[in-house]
Amino acid sequence: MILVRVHGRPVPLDPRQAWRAIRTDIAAMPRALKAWLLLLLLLMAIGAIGAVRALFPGDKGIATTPTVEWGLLIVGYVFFAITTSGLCLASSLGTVFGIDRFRPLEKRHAVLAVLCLVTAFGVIALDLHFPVRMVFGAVFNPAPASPMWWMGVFYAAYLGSLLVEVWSIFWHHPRIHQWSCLSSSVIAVVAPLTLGAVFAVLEARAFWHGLFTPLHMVAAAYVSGVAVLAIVFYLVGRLRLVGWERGVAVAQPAIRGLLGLGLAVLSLLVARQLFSGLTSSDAGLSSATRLLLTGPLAPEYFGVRLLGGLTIPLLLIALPRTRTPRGLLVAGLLAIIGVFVDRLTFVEAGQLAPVTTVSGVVSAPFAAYSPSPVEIAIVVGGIALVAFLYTLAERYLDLSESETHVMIWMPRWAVHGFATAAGAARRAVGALPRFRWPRRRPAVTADEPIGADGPAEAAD
Amino acid sequence: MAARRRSRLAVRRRAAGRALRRFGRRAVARTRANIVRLRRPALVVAGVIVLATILGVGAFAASGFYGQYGPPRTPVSVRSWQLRPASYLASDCRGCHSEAAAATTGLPHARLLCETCHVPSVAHPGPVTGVVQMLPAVDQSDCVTCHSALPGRPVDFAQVALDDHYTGAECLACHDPHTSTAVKPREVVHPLANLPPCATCHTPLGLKAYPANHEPAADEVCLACHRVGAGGP
Amino acid sequence: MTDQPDLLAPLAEPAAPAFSPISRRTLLKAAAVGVPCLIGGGAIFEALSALTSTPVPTVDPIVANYDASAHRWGFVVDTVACIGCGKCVVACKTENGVPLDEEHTRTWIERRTVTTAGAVIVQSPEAGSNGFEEAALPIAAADVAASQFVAWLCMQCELSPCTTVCPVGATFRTADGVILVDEARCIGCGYCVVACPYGARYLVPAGARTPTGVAGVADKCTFCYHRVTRGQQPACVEVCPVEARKFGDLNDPVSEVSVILRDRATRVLRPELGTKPRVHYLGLEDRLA
Repeated sequence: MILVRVHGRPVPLDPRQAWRAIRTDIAAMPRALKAWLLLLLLLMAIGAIGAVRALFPGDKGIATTPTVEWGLLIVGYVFFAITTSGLCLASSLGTVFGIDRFRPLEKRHAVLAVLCLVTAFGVIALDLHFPVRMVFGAVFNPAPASPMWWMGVFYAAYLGSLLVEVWSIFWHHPRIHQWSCLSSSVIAVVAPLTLGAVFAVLEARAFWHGLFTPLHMVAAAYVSGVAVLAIVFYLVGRLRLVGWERGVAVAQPAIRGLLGLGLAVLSLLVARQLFSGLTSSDAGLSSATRLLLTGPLAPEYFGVRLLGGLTIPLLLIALPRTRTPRGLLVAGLLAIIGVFVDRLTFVEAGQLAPVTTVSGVVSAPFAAYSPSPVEIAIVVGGIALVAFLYTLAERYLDLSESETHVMIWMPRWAVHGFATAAGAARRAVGALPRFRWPRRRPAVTADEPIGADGPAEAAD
Repeated sequence: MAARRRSRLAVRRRAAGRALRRFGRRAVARTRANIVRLRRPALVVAGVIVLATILGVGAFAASGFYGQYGPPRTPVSVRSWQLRPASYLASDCRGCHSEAAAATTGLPHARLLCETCHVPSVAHPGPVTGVVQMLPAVDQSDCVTCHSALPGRPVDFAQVALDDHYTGAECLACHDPHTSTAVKPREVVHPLANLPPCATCHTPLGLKAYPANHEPAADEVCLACHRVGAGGP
Repeated sequence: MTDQPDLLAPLAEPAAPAFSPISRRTLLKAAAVGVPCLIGGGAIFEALSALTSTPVPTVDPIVANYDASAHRWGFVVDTVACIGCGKCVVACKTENGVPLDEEHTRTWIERRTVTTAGAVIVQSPEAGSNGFEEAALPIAAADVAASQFVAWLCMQCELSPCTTVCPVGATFRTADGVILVDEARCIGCGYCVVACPYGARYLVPAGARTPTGVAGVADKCTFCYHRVTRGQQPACVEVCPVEARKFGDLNDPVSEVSVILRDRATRVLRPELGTKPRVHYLGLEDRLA
């Protein structure tokens, strides 16, 4: 007899009772929550319409052409796939390495990762013309030379590992949870590498080709995952959700540090990409880089991706004035939009600078692509789906830190090595001259401490 | 065995003491309440990472492996490509269309497949039943597609700049596509009504070029001599 | 150290979980029923879709006696002779039922013009299917340094990126060197389309003309495989009025393509990518390639 309890109350499985329980619950929701869920339902409905249109054989309403075969749906898939990897990468510091300040992330990241990955699979299934064939084809006709096959393998394994992780954390199996966190974290590094390899092995597309594309993908995954956590933990603190005390005190500064680090690494990779593109002798690569910097993609690249997605979040994180929860929220929102636009421009730039004129598309010198309403609807619907299900998860599940933690003991030499390296790094950082922001207020002099009248005041 | 367990215990007590001095009582108590220790060392961590690295490197290395995949390709999928119907049958049109065939003999258009200009044989309307069924006649644009002078065409190919070539007349008025020769421009009957300006056809390369001492002029000049009943040609 | 906590004391009871635990037995039973149901449902779906798809026709004797490993098909494009009439493109579309628009085409003609200033202008109106009469050059005739018509098609590369990257192995090379797509296996992901350095592939659009019989799968030039296995030549080769396209068996030392490859200097497009194309070009200008 399956009995499901939520917050201590048993959930009835009889349809009529369940419906009554749902109605009571909806009535008990605060108005803002109801409005939020209604908005998400509306966006999901739009997405569903787009999905139905895309599923029908015949004209799917998708604006891809032989020149630009990979459009917004592929970008959406890449975005969701790297976000789900980044979530595990970010929280692996807490779950795998046992660093305490990252512990509050453990349940939330798992739920978000599962939702994002399922949405990613949904989006790609809508783009593929024969999704069922892919499942059977990939299993019975393996293609180990194809990076896309490996990507499918690793993301399927990632889904399995995540499901085990979620199950073990909610059904309270700490050892299994620890091992599944470890495997998820490892796969969360390898899977975006293979996703980058899908693009990187193509010599035909000079903009995508090269070793740095998979690394860029991992860095973007990291930033994306941390940015999602930043947004979530802002809401945790603001709305006083479960575990908010440690969330605000410990998790938010930790996430801020991770986001800053990720954005810094990503900025370096972007700079390298632009530099190598501008100085390259390869016509395809320089053409694609020109497309980004001076061509039709320049406004969104400079404005949204570079300025809004990298520079402003870094400033928000670095400046002490904006090191507030709200600053973290804005930084996270901008960073995640920046990552989406980054992947969009990446996928587009590789194709809009065409390899040949491809039968008449002499669009001097770039091809053109703009997403159709169906594609936009599907991606918007996917984001709304993740938000909707996560809101329900926050409401009905206990997403605080779990009480038990398992330490996987590394061999002694690894422990000592790790500790020595960490200590040396900390000492090296401490030996650097300390950077102090210039102070605006006059310094308080030592012989006039504030509150010197303490005892005299108390005596009144 | 018991001695090993005792020494392990001693190591853990020392570690516990260090942790207490380092982190303080409350943190240690909390951690104590929360830690479940595994006995097995996690060398599997390293093994998993190595495996993933091998798989990743293998994927990159395998990208040099060009060729076909999956089980040996059965004839099924190849058959479906082999058994599609063909349209351009290059059939022996000359067997029936002997006149047109004879006309091309030895001439540039002889090497053309009939279907180059005419529709593919598969669209040939049925067997001949006594009435000669003609394939659709060639449109004038077919001539222009090949024979207009365009940059990029080889210089030894028969091409003509259309602007300078008998403007106002159809190719087929003078040229026979099968013999690919041009008959001398035929006598053009001038109807008295709706005549274009004289210079339209009577250009230096035109339908009837005029002699050396003539120049292109307005119609009035031409019609001063060349008019019905004036005695000129 | 009276208040030294005993780190070695047994673990306290874990807190009560939010959900009442489902027993492992129930979970295993549900999985034992559910997973075969999913797989069975998928298999039924696949079987139904296979039943409703076009059946494989029966073999005819000519095709049955065709030995693919005895042949090695080669293709030569004579760039100097090509007049850019576009009849090859029309023939290909007619022969293979290819959609008539310019983006979805198995072969196309480009006019490549290099100006006296060194700029290269590339034009391909309607894939060249209506000739280049309507495509006026944006420069004066005196500024044209050189101009050529270059025919593009699938290069049937020996080291083809497309067959490598297909995630389900739907595109493959036959024994005689022609790369085909198994339209029953293709999932329409488009990876081969973006991987092709020559832009020779496309996904079949929805509409009346579907060269593979079904929309959404990848398609490309097949060297008219249904013709060459019957001893005919590809449609584009047959209809070319100036014999700018040549096709033959490289295993036959006296075939036209063998003689050309042996005796004359040919080039391939994009040799720097190392794809080893099977289509060679005569007379391709340096400045235009």
